Amino acid sequence: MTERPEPLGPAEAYEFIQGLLATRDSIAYTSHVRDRMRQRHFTIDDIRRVLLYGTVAPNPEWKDTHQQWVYVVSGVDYDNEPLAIVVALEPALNRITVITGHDV
Amino acid sequence: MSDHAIRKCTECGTPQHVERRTTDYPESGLSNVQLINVPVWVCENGHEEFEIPAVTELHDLLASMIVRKPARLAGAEIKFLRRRVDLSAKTFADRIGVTPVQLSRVETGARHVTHRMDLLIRLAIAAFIAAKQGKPFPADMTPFITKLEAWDIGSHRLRHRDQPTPDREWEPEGVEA
Repeated sequence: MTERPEPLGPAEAYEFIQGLLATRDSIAYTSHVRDRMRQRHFTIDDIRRVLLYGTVAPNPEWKDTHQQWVYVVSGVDYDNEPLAIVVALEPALNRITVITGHDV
Repeated sequence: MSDHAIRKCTECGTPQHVERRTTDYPESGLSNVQLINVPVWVCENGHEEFEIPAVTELHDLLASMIVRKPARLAGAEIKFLRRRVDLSAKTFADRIGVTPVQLSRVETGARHVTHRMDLLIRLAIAAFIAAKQGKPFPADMTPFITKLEAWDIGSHRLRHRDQPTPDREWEPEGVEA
């Protein structure tokens, strides 16, 4: 079991997301969120919109199974429907993984 | 930091390795796009995470191809194009001179796009992408401007001819014939 790292604060998390989208512009998607996108009819553009313009919730959740903090970013999609995106942020790997998306 | 540092599965925490695959891309909102050589991260338990590099560039490329396609635009394609200009349905509808309800019906496939709306959307998107990339309006899109002008002239004539014929010629008041 590795030592639990400190979570990013909302401002740090937001800054990391903006920085990664502006440079690598690359996001990983789990099979689960791909299923959710088909079921709920939201797209990668909607996810990117929420990540770019949404708000990072202040209390990330620690996931023991994969030893990561997961963050919730809330915003609206291109149809102005509320959408919350759950992401794992890994600054050490310069990586964002979208785990799931759901209604706010 | 290299991408090939040890990555762990976000579902089970086991190490992942990368594979290159060909995959459908319905997550774009388009049902007829297939991506080749996409990195897919696979863990020991078979969980998969697919990654799309340079998404903005990819979607702009898809948009450039869609606005040049010979066939009329489909609803899903119009929705995809609207997202390229980062506009809500209401604002986009205002810009191209239709109501949000009309745009919604077209995007959902409940109605076919009109010839004029099809041309307007192509030109608006082409202009937006060119401006975003700091390039002039693409020369190969000018035939669509010609088509739009021809369509507008044609439709005006049609409306004019459809107007009822007046009962008599106009005469200024107080003038005896």
